[in-house]
Amino acid sequence: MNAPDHTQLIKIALDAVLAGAKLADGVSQAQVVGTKGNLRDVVTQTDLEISTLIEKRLAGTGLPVISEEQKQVQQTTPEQFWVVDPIDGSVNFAHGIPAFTISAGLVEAGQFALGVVCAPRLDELYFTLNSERALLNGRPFTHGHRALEDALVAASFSARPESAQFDLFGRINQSTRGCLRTGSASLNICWAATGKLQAAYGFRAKLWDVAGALAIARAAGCELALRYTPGALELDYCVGSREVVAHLIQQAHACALWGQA
Amino acid sequence: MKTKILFMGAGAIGRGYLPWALSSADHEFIFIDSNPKIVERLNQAGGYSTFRVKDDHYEHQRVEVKAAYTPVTFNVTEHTDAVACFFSVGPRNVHAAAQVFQGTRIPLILCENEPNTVDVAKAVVEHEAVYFAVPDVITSNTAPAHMLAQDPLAITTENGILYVEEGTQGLHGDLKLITRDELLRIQWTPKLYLHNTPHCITAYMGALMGVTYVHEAMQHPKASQLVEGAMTEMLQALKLQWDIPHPFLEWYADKELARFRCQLLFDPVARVAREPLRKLELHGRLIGAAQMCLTLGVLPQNLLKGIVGALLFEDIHDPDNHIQLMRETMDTASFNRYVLALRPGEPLDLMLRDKIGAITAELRDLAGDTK
Repeated sequence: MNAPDHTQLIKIALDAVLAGAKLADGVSQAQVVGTKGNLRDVVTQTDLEISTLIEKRLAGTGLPVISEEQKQVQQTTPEQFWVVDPIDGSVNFAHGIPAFTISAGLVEAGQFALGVVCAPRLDELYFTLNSERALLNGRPFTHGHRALEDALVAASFSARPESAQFDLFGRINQSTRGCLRTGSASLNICWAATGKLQAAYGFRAKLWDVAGALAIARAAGCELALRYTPGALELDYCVGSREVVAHLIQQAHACALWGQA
Repeated sequence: MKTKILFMGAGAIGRGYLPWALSSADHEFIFIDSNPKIVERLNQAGGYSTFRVKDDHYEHQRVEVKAAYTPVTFNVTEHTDAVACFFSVGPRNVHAAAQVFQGTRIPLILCENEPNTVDVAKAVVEHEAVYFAVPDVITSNTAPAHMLAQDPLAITTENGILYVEEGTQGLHGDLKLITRDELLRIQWTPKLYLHNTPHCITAYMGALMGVTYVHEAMQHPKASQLVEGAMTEMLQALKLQWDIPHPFLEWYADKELARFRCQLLFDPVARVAREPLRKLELHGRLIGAAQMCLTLGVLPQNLLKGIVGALLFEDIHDPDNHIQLMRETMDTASFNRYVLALRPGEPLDLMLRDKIGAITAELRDLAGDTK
């Protein structure tokens, strides 16, 4: 049997993510079933159900799946694998705030190749047709690079952020039109890709939070500054307009975040 | 001395129609087009032929072209004396095309079938001299074979009327300057719903039947009946919704149906049907039209078939060809919600979910009848 091509893969991922989105959309009162060591990292029953559902659908591609709720660290890093986040923004979801997504991304040879991100309560569906074409609700879009003085930025904090991340947040908030924290890294990146925001960043982000969205930002023509080692489950990213990303990296250096190994 | 007019876009409207509406005795014409072959040909030949259908025959005009450029080779600083630049590049391309005029005060006149492109262009050029225009005309982007044999850039058009928003100056020719309010209410609204809507439905029927030109689609009785039905639905809705004289609307509708049947125009189905996702925008000629009907108590049965026709449009060269990938992958409810922006459970969403299967079969049968 031939390996599925990108068109077949994106169709399967689209089907899987939309099935997950439908499940999330049908939940009126999310039930928190646990936390992962701190109050901000909650797991709902819906996370678990969506994770199972998406994994089952992606299994048809024959590629390994890494999911937030089903982390199976492989001995060797496969050439191609799926990364799934059943709900990015679980705290928002649990509180009835619409800023959450269901996402899947294909990592291929260490690159974020394809992605699907759905924010059902916002009626936003982002996906890549290929590595050069990003779509929002079926319409192609590209990132329009803007200057720093026009920039609205969004930050994501890791589960246990060091104080430097708060320092950086303050610096970015003061040196741009503002720095948001939406509670969903994938949504930040998708909004940066479309140009609603001019950049999004995060340090020690989990791979599943951002894999699908980074593929979309890449296809949309965003500047991508990544510190990602293939096989790792965490990465640092600054994504968006060239000038704004350059500024973020400069400020991250000053906070000793970007210079860290 | 002749004054300079720029045309951004040397396609159907720019090349085929506008030179008929503007006086060549008073203006010299300069074209900018992204197709280097057209630019090269215009420069080599120094002009081209456009044929206007009038009273069942063609009138010929040789259009003299002072110069032609691609956006890359065009140096706007050499043309700041232009009295205007007419845009006909397609609504999706206005933002990029307007960037060519950043830093100048050249008035822009947008023949773009979408009034909000004026705001898009204003934001780019950062001045207010950007005007909307409605060319009430159908223009092909090609011509019959015997004309093309004489001139590969030959093009055919109707005898139309060019309505331009007041405020433009220095233009000479056969054009009507009217207020923006009048332009949008009296000219744009009928054009959107009595021209654009049934015109694209005709093209989608034509595409399903595998014909090349719009008039060929209208020769099929079932397709013609469907288009006339959609026109009737739009007429009913417009009469209820808008303060526009009913005889004018009826005249407009008859005029349009006659246009679609015109056998001299050679209006390509591929041109009219292109970019179906743009035609399926929420407030546009298909979804917006059907929603307006439902709001007013008019059942959009034929419009619904037009919408499904757009969903079935396949052209591997079309920028929206991924619509088929989405339809194959997404169930109708998800497609309606994310792609068509319909609210789950709203009447049009429910109608489409209920009827899409039967309408698809009906349209496929229509296509089968002709093959």
